[in-house]
Amino acid sequence: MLNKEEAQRLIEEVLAAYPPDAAADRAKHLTVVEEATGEGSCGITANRKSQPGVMTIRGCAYAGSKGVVWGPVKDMIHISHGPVGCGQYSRAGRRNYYVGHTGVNAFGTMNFTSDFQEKDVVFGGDKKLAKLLDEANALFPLNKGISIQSECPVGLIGDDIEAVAKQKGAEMGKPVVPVRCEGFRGVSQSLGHHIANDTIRDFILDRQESTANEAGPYDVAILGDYNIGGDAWASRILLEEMGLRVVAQWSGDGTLAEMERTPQVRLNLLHCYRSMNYISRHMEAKYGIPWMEYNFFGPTRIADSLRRIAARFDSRIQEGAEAVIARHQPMVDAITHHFRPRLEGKRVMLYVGGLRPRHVIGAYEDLGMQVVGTGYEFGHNDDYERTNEDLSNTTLIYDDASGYELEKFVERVRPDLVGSGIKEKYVFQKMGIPFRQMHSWDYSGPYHGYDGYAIFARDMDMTINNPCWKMMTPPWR
Amino acid sequence: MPEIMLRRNEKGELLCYVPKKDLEAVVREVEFDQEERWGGRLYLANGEILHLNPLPARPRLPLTARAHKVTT
Repeated sequence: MLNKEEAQRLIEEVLAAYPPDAAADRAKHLTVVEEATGEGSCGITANRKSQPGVMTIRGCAYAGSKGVVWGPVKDMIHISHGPVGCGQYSRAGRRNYYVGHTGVNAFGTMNFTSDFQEKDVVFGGDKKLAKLLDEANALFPLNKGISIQSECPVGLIGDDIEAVAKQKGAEMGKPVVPVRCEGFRGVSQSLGHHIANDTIRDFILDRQESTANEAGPYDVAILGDYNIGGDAWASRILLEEMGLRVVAQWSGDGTLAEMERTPQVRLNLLHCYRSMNYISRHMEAKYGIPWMEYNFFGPTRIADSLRRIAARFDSRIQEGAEAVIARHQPMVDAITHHFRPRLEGKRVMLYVGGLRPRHVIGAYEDLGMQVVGTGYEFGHNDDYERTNEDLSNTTLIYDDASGYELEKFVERVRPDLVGSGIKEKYVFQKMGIPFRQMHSWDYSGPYHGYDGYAIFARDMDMTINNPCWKMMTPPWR
Repeated sequence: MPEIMLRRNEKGELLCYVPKKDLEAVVREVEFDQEERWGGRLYLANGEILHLNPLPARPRLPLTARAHKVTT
């Protein structure tokens, strides 16, 4: 167990390695929370530019737009406009599952790029883009629209992608969305989410006042669920089981038509607050659709979320929610009974992205585990405020931790499990510490919903109690 | 003069969101909270005070408005 003084000393020790200016800046991003007060943002400064010279784990605005928000919209072509690398090295890495025939009516795992060469940078890439749009549309006629995801050079040379998009959009009769998500914008992928949300607002929601389907009394939309390993499906069945009609999934396994229809739903259900709160706020202001956050990790939070969602509807849905919870209770009990004794008391450190540093805490606690450290790569103050409500023991909080800080923290706290990204995975495994890659569930999943809980529990057990950890001798022994 | 967005949260509390600062705080008290006059000083849970020019009626939420910071 971590106590406050020790943790504070640990932070000071880590900061001692920096020059005074850097240490003063980093000190604002590291803190210890003793117990949740439910108020305030843990006293942390967030969403600031990373220190030059340290290894940050953050991504860029392009990653936030193409990789997170736009990428999973399966029936649209997303062009990585610029050099080939950005699109290719991020291709299909997030495992946003979808149903469809790739290359025919779905394009999720494909990489479309304008493959900028020197001459495109010197003479501008607009002509190439126009040609590319025509080509893509001719080769894949079942696409419902095209988004142009700008990479850094496009912004640097000042190409007018908006003009090209407008002209080609009119020719094709499909939405062609120019997204100004050049990687250098903002301090992390977070601005990419915002930019992507804004383009959805400007180019999709307002494109046609959709009248295609009749709005039902129980229509809801799932926002901010990217269907990683099937997450959105595991969430969707629970909502449908309780009597709601899920009209749209944003954007995991989502389609353009679903997005266009979202302004008619009764309630927007927001899973990843960080990446889609902007569009939720917009829809609340413009269409009067209320939104609420929910958490589908671990049975305690699921039951709580289902009840809170149901409370927004009539008694039929409320009874439905209770029935769903009751029906899954035996399964949940069996899982907890089986895995809890194997995981009880284990300590976890997390360092992930937008919602998991707080959302998965409940799932770990359901298994008797404790989260002793958590932090966001690109969270904002409002994320840390929300985190505060979820913490139940003394917890180390780190915002935009550098590779060095994270390594030091883990070395000293020595948790039983670290959950972070692929860049951290092998570092910690070589230190002899079990690791789960919590961005895309380490090639497993889903982790959402009751079905996801079973897989989550199995994976955590499989990782922590793997016999290999006893067989290796770390280099310092 | 930051832009603010006012809405109600699930508990029915008035919530003030300042996009520029990523600040989302409960409004503890509104200076003028009447049918024909609404606004004035907004006392936020984090101790900050914002001033919103009083509106002639109780607004329909969510509301996007400009407010300014009151230094005390």
